[in-house]
Amino acid sequence: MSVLGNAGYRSLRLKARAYTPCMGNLEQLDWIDAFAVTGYGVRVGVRVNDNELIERLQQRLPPGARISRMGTVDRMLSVIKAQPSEKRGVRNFNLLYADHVVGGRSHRMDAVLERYDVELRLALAQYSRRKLFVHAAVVTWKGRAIVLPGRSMTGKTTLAGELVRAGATYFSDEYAVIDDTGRVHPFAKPLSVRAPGKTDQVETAVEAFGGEAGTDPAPIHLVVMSQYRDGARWRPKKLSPGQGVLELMDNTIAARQYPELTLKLLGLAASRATILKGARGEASQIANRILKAAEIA
Amino acid sequence: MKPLMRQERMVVRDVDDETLVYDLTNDTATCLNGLAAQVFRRCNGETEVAEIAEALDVDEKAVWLALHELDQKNFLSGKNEMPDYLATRRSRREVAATLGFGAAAAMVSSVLVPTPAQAQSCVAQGDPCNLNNPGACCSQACLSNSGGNDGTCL
Repeated sequence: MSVLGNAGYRSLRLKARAYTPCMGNLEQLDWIDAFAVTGYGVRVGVRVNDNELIERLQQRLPPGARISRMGTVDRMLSVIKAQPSEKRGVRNFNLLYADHVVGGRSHRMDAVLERYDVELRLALAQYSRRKLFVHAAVVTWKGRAIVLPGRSMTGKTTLAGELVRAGATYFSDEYAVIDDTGRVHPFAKPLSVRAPGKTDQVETAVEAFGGEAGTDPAPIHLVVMSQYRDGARWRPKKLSPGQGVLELMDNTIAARQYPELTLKLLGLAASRATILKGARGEASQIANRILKAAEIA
Repeated sequence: MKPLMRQERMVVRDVDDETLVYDLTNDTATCLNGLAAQVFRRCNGETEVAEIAEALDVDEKAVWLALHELDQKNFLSGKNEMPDYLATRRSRREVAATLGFGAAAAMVSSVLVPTPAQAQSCVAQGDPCNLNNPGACCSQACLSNSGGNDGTCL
């Protein structure tokens, strides 16, 4: 066991309420080094069993997060680089644990690092009490935000990309980060673009769409719930604010943990916004119509 | 009957003329539209159904219809006796139709609030995944298709 980073590792502690007996087994592994990441009032611990991982992991911080001092953390991410197996013909996996749960497992370290990115962002979204994270793409048009909530694979990134091509400013393709005044903040990670029918994502800078990322928070003006359906015509239904809150809540990461905060912030946002819902065809065909709707809403 | 809204394990918030209710016992969020919201706000345990109807200037049957919906969602305290004409779905529809409502069910709508993992970006059941990255599936399990690294999320 290396002594190098153990002192650093020991000064990271998972919050008592998140600690499980299974975490005890992970504690027994040979951790070499560690660091902490803070963002949106959440602190995440990251520990590794191989020194060369540290720099790579520290370069992959989500928007709004920074390296911080060690201490008690809300979530512990443990990244394990596969070690050569003592058994012939056996190849160990690279692993990622989020607390005691396996979050990634692959022979390719890149695949585990992609899961690390997702788990780190999820930890910020799940534990933040300063901001509410809704799973949504966000762009702004003339200083006002258009929020596109939806589950994975519903075409959020594609639509956000088309809106950016049409002149909108990019905020996020993953989270609408809502503050206590109901405004949305940029969470401008690179867009995770999927090829049609594929699940693999390619991180693509917003500049590749001919646009730029926003820097200042914006009021939510339009919420568009849309799901791609082959050949569908865009004829959205306008929802009431209450119905809009339900739809947004269905995509809110910490809704179960902070229901009061969720109802308050979503209620605030929905009562000031126009909320549309409907099936859509190709994103390129409706991007301009959404921008037009944002102007007249 | 003097209906009383449940006092514990609920978060209630008004948004414009609607009321949102988060039921902490089953993690569901419900939107009470128009009449249901107004009736719910008057369920203070001191007001008779007829008085609620009078205050809202609506037919008493409409109030009962709303109360039935609230009772079904377990938003009222105690055991509440409902009129016979609300006993079946068909009879409720008939009452709603005579009152000019599209459907009684339109008074309330609910969603089961997702867990963080459900709301997070993950690949849904039945959708394609890569065997090298099973953690991308919501279930964390990617089942092999024939050959290659392509699979389907369980």
